This record gives sequence, C-alpha cells and structure tokens, in this order.
Amino acid sequence: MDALGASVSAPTEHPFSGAAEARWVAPGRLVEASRVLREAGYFFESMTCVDRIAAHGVFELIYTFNRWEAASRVAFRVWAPATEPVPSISGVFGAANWNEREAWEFYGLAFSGHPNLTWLLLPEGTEFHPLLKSFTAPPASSYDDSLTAPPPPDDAHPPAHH
Amino acid sequence: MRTHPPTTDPLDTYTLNMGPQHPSTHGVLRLLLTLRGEEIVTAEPVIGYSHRAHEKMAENRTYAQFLPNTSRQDYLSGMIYNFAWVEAVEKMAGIPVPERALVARVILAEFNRIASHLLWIGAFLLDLGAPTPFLYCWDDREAILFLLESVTGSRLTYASGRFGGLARDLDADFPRRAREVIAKLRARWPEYDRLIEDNVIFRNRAIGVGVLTRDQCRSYGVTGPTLRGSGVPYDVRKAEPYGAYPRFEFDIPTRPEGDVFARYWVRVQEMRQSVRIIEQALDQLPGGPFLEPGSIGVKKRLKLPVGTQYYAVESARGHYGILLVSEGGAEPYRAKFRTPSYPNLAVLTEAMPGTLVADAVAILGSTDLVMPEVDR
Amino acid sequence: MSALHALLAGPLGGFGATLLVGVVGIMGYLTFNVLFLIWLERKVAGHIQRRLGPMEVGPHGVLQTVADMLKLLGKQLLTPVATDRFVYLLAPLLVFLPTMCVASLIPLGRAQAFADMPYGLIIIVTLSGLTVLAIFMAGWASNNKYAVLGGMRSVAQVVAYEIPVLLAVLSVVLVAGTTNLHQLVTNPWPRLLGVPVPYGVVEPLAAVIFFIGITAETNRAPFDIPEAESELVGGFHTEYSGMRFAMFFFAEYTNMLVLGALGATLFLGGFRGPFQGAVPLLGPVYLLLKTYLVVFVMMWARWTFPRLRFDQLMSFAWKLLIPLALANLVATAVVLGVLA
Repeated sequence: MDALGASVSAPTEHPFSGAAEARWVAPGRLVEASRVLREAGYFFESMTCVDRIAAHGVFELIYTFNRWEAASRVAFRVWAPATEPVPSISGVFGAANWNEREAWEFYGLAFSGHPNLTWLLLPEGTEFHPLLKSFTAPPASSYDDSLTAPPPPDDAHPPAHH
Repeated sequence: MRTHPPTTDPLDTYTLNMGPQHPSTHGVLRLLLTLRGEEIVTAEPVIGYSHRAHEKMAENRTYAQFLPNTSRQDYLSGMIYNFAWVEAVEKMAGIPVPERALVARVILAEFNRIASHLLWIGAFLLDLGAPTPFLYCWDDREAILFLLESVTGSRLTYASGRFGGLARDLDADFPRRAREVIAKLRARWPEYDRLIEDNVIFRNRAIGVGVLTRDQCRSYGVTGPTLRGSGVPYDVRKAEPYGAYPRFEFDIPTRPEGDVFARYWVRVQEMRQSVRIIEQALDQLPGGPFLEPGSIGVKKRLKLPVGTQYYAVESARGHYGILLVSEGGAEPYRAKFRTPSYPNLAVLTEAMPGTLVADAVAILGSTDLVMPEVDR
Repeated sequence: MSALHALLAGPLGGFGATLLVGVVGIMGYLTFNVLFLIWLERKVAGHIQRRLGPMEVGPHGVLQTVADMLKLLGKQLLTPVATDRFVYLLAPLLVFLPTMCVASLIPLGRAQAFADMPYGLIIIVTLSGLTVLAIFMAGWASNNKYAVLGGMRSVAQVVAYEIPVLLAVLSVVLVAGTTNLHQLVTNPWPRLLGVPVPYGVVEPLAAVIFFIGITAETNRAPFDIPEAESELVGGFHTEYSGMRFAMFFFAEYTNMLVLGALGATLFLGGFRGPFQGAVPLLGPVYLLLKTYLVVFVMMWARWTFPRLRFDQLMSFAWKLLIPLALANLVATAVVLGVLA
C-alpha cells in the first residue's frame, strides 16, 4: 500500500478495528487514492458517513475496500468539513454512485463531480436529513400525501342501461 | 442479444414503468425501463419504497433492543443477520461465547441459508414462468422452518441470538430432526436437477443471459452467489472466517460464465455445501452451556468501548457488513449496514441494457434481491 | 334434439329452429365443458404440485368453478380512463365468436356436426386465427403499455404458429383426400401392416407440430408470452376485471377444448372407436375422451415447463417448425405419389 502515499496525520484518537489497514485520507486525495486501490484489484465494500458535527464540525466518511483474493480490508477515513463538497469517487467505483447519493440525502453532504446527486431512498423533494444527530422529527408539512388526482370522469362509474 | 444500435431518440423509444407493483419485482422495486420494442435501452432501479430507517433506529435503541430489527432487514435469511449483529457486538465488547453456542449458530445459520436459497429457486422459476418448482421448494423450506421454529419460536424474523450465546438451547432431539430434514432435502435434489437444470427451455432462458463481468463486480462490490457465478471464489466464511466456520470443511462453488445459469447453479451447489457443514456441525456439537454463565444477555445495559469496528459475515445473498461506531454509550453512535443486495442491484444498470423485457425479469430474479434489505 | 327441433320449427321456421337449437346447444356444451376443464386444470396442477387443488365446494371441489364464476359476476367492472371504450368493450365479446364457429364444424358423431361443410377444415383454419384480433383489440384499447406489448406479442405469435398448423393439417388432408371433417373421420383409414389406423399414426410429425401449434395459438404455457404474468403482469387482459376478464379466461379454455377436439378429429380418429357403429351414442363420448387426452397433455406441459422468451418462441416457429412441417408435407405428397 505504499502507492497510496503518506497518510494524513490522525485528527482523532478514535480507534478503528476490523480492517487490515485504516488510513486517514485528505478529501483532496480521495479520488487518487481510491484509483490506486481500484488498479490494485480491490472492490468497493462499503461507505459510511458519521455525524461528528457537534464535537468537531465535520463528517467522518469511512470507505472500506477489500480484495477477493487474500482478503485484506483497507479503510479510508476522511475528515470532511460539513460545508465543503467531497470529491466523488463514482468515476472510479460504480458502487460509490448510490452510496454518495445516500450520504447526500441523509446528511446533506455534497459530492463534487457526482453525475446524478439526487434522492435515492428518501422521497424526491425531501428537504431534511434524517441521519443528522440534530434531526428530531420531520416538519409537519414535509410530506404531502394527499393525491391531487383529477376528478374521476364519467367513465369511472358507467351508467346503468339507458 | 442487441439487434439495433443503442438509441436515446425519444421518438424511437418509450418508457415502461415496471413496478413498484409488479409480480416479478420481488417486493417494492421500481424499474424505469427505456425500451425500443421489447429491447431495453436503459434500466434505472428506483428504490426506497420499503425504507424504514434501520440505521436511525439503531442510534436510538440499546444494542439488545436492536436485535429484532436485524432479521427484518433480510427476512429470508434473518438468522444470519441476527447472529451477525450479536457477533459484531460480542467482538467489540469482548464477550466470550461458549463452544456449543458457536456450533449451534452455524447449524441454524446454514439451515436458514438453505431455506433462503430454496425460496429463491422457487421464486426465480416463477419469474421464468414455471410455477411448479415453487411449490416443491416451498415444501422443503417448510420442513426447515418447522425445525427453526422449534428452536427459536419464530419462522421468519428471528431474534434468537444473545450476547454471549443463544436465547434457547438446541434440545436433545434436535440432531435427529435436523438429520431427517437433511435426508428429505437430499432426496429431492435429483428431482430438481431433472425438472429444472436439465430442462431445455430453462437452459435457453438462462445460459448466456445477463452476463456480469468480473470488472463490473469489482466496481460495484457485487458479492455472494452472484459474484461466485462470475467465477470469483470469494466467500466471507473462507476469506475472513468467523464463529465456528474454520473448523468445518466445505467448498466454494464457482462458475466462470457470469450468466443467469451460473448464478442458479452456484446456489444449488451451495445448498449441498451447507448440508455438508451442518452434518459436520451436528457430529461435533459439543455439550455445555449455550449461554455464557453470568453473561449480559439482554437484561443489563451493555456499553461498548469507544471505537469503530467493521464486521462481516456471509449471508445468503453475499457480504453483509456491520460498521459500528461507539462513543461509549448504551446505544450505537452510528450503525451502518452494508447489505449485499444493494450493490447487486446497482450493478444491474450495466447488465440490463441490450436484453429483452423477459431477460430483465430473469436477471433481476437471478441476483436474489430482497428489497427491504436494499432499502433498509 | 330432433323432436325439439320439430317443436320449434312451427313458430320459428326450419332455419330459425336449427340456428336456435345449434347455438344454444353449442353454447351449453362448451360452457359445461369449460367449467369442468377449469376445475380439471386446477386439479391437474394441484396433483403435479403435490397438493390437492380445490376441495371445498362440492365433492373434490367440482363446483369451485361455478362459485368462482358467481364471484366474478358480482365484481365491479372497472373501465380505465382514456381507453378506446368501444373497442375495449367489444373485445371480450368478440374473443368467443371464432371459437364458437369452429365448434359448430366439428363432427360429434354419426349424426354429424351442426354445420357439415365440404370445406370445413379450410373454414376452421381460417376462423381460428381470428381470435387474435380480439386479443389485439383488447391490448390496444386498454391504454396500457403491458397490454399493448401483450397484444403485439400475441399477433406475432399467432401469425407465426398458424403456418405450421396449416401445413400439418394439409398433410392430413393429403392422406385423407378430403377437407370435410365428417368424411375425414368416416372415410376408410390408412392401413399400416393391414390394420386401419388413425391419421396420427401415419403422420406423427404433423401431429406433434399441430399440437405445439395449437398450444401456442391458445396462448398456453410454455407459449403464454402474450399474458406472461411475471413479465407483463396480465398482458392483454391487464386492464380487464370481473366478468370481462372471465370472458378472456373462458375463451382460452373454449379454445383449448375446440382445438383439442380438432386435434382429436384429425389425428386420433375423432368420434370413431370400438362398437361406435353399433351404439351411436358412443361417438360423442369417444370424441370427448380423445379431446380430453389432448387437453390433458397441454395442461401437463403447462405445469412442467418454464416460459420461452419471445425471440426464442419466434425462431422456434420460423426456423424449426415451419421447415419441418413443409418437409413433412412434401414427404407425404411424395410417398402418396409413389404408393399411387
């Protein structure tokens, strides 16, 4: 994993277990680093966003990659400022497309260079981010469940025989 | 398969909204198909119809309270998900597990895997228009569900794992009943082979259809039987052995073609390997306690040390990962569930274009999706 | 029948009475048989699938279909918005018509068919292709993409499978030397090693092609792609509910019955059988038994095989069945020429 270059110094002591290597990556180097893994034969395993806004004002993004042959998990930990978009790696790993959309809708974290950053699991037009620690309940007006269908035409109730 | 050059001309194509209410979308998946005649130009899965925010629920419940949620992510192999949660917490908290519970978990999980694969074979053949295998598979699966019910008390959504063991012990008669079920399964296999695998129509529908290349699998993180049908012998039970799996002998069936038939074949062979594991486990089932004496169980509030941990198991559908973030509280700070159906569905946007509507149904069926697991 | 006919001939005139007795008779015969067929199908499916099938209504559930029909009668008829209303409503009525006409041409016994025509077989072949028009009307008028797809599949399929069926029928006509169905049955049968055998024995390939063809024409699995429920939800009848759906359902079974009877007449000797000459009533019984044999095989296939894909279905017809049927026709002609 020398090709990944030097690791960013750890911004927190929070330990990570369950991976052969957990490495802090700067947001700017994310695409480059994941391309190194892609070319080394790793597959995209998972991506997690953790809300650390209250304590640090950032989101912690955890990407894990693994290998089919001789499994060894590599975790990328990214300390992403809440206001700045993170570079999308959907061009490197197809799986990132949906995972980034999920992070966007659930946390409001933007990804730059994403081809289709829109709602995935939540209804289109949802304006709140439910996995934020600050989230409590959706505002009462967020869902419009009333179907605004046109009034049924005469056809819907065929008249009896004339 | 492709007979015309790809087109996006709106006058040449039309949109077919397949689902969320459709007999073959296995729950509530919506496929936005752009078709030219019957040929698929683009396919876009629209998901989220059964999103229940399991990850948010996890942040608001204690580790024990979250137990029943796990088997509701994938209700077809809920036992495996349930044990995965229990094992992830045990590993992080350092809770010892008695030998008997470890082996019993393997037995129950493998039975659950077979039940899941049986249901899949039935539902898949139903997608291909053959209703009869469904009822045969259902009959076999019923025998397994009876067996699991006798141990756990539930048929589908199990919550039988406990931190440090199991909720209930396997009774003295269990090995006999388990072997009876195995004998029943074994007797049916040649019949399935003749009815399904040797059928010329099935072969025509399945061979060469919906090929997933290794590179597509790598890019999307496809795992499980879907990946093994593309010739990659990756199985978490072997790659990162957990629980009592290292002590049992079994093979990873793979097939290089990557088509629908390969995925079918791999699952059929996997059931045989699962039976192999169960038989070894029944032979080696140790005595002793089924729950660590003085263990935490579900009653006391369990607190995990500060840290992040990734834990993976092999579910019936593939690599199921749990990423747990603890800040030392009684509830997880963050729990991420990396469910196998999610990437297995995402990759279909690349596998479907160029096939026909009938193939779309076959391809969708062959990846063994469970929509609540995709949506969580 | 003839007494009833004489009674009605007074007020209605001879032709009117014949028409009334014929239509009511055929309708009654078909309806009764179809009700039984649907029950039989469910029983066959049940036993193939290790279960019992209907057991609740009547002994062994024989009245289940009647109960289902009553339920369907009671259902609300929904007409989706923006359908082509006239065509939409006409389709379920039309779907019956060709089958009814075909049924009237099939000889039941020595007393002949309701309409005994010298070119009966030609008329049957002409009519049986018309059902697809009603199916396409249903698919087109429903204003539903699945229904249109189902309708289009249906047209392509029937067009493709009409040809091998026609060629198979022609082979039999060559051997029999007549297109009158009654004569076809009563004419001296071809002899094989001195024993008179039905046409199916001397034309086995034609029999198989005919069977495959009628399975496809009746939209039965493994050729049920126009309504393939796992792909097209309900295909052409997706938007039909209640009794309108029941009409399509009924038509499928009527079609099976009538085409099965045609197959039995062409290849299995129709109403002829032992002692049939001495006991004329045995004629219809023999025909019915042979029809049910054909129909049973169709059911058996349905509950065993997966469905073909559309392009496979087409290439099977165009690349395999039609050349085979043609070759069989030519071979038949050559052999007949040599024997003559």
